[in-house]
Amino acid sequence: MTDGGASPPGQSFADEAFAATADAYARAPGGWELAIQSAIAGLFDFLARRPAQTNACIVGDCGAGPDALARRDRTIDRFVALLRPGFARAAMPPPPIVADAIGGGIYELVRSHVLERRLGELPEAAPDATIVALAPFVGTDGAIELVSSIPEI
Amino acid sequence: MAVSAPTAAPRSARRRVRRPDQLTGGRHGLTAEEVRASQRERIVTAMTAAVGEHGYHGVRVADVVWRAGVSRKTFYELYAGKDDCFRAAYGTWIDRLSKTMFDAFDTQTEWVDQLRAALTALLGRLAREPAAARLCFSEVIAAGGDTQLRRDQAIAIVAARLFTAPGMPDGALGETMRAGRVSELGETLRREIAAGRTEQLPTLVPELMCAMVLPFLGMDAAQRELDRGTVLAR
Repeated sequence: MTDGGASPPGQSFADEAFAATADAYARAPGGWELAIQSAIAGLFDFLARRPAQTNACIVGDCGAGPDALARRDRTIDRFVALLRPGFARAAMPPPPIVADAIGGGIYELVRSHVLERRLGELPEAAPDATIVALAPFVGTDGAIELVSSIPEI
Repeated sequence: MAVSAPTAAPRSARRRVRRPDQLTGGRHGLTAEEVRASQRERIVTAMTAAVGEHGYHGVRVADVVWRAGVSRKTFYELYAGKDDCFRAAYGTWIDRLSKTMFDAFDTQTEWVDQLRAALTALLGRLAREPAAARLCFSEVIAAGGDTQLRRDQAIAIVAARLFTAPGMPDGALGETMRAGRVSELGETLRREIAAGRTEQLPTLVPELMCAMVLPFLGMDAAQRELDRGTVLAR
């Protein structure tokens, strides 16, 4: 799923990680909320299983140049696109900046696990991250209820 | 404290000019500790202004030394290098900005009012301190791992202090939600500052408040925040 080696290694890995995320999103049974749950679980599982590459990609963004920062933004933007259907489903759509903010928040959660050398624990954080991502759209109680109703979590 | 280091001059045209905050040479009656404190303060101010102008990657130690009016020898006696100095500047500004938020937070009694006061104070100060805003929310992403750990500490402190909403979940979920909201706020600010909209940050208070209270207080409270309109920080 890499792009043939034409792009930098970090970009190739980011592409692979997003492909795994999008695949999990598309395969989820049910509505958008379950698709977001599946996407986050899929992303976190993908990253936790590839600690060396995830470390290189995330830590590589620290102290790296504008290209790495642009890659970071592109990665977040692609995840944010998955959140946008939530605006149409929300009883009261939150302000548009919420989607960008959630994307950045998810990235920060991954980054903190890498920096604290807890990447192996990342999949365990998926349910809470799902609640954080869904709460602005369905409320905290609704997000907790949805995540709690999924047996495999 | 507004950043008032010397404004840009072509790097090739710089010459030594004593600044108002620079100690005079010879006998000035200060202890060695006081001299060091003065030098650190000037270096932090200089680093902030240099980052505000050049960005993290564009800053050289020579820029900071020149702006601060210290020698390279003095700089390296106080800091291991550029990243170490950047981390010190970041820590200084995060402490100042946190105090700005916490002081405003404490002027109110209801959580939603406290959060709005803190956010209004923060965005107002960032709009007045664009170099510090760029350093703390935009360029910090490019700094090294130690600075990132300092950033994580700051997020945890702000999250624990500001996100004491009624109905906030307990335990690990509560911690994740609090840190998540602060991270989301930081990401929003980073994008706005990187896009050159630092002066307009105070206009985001209603939208950000709406986003932050919606998960905890529900739609009515979130709508009230939007309806409040823009409150420019003073």
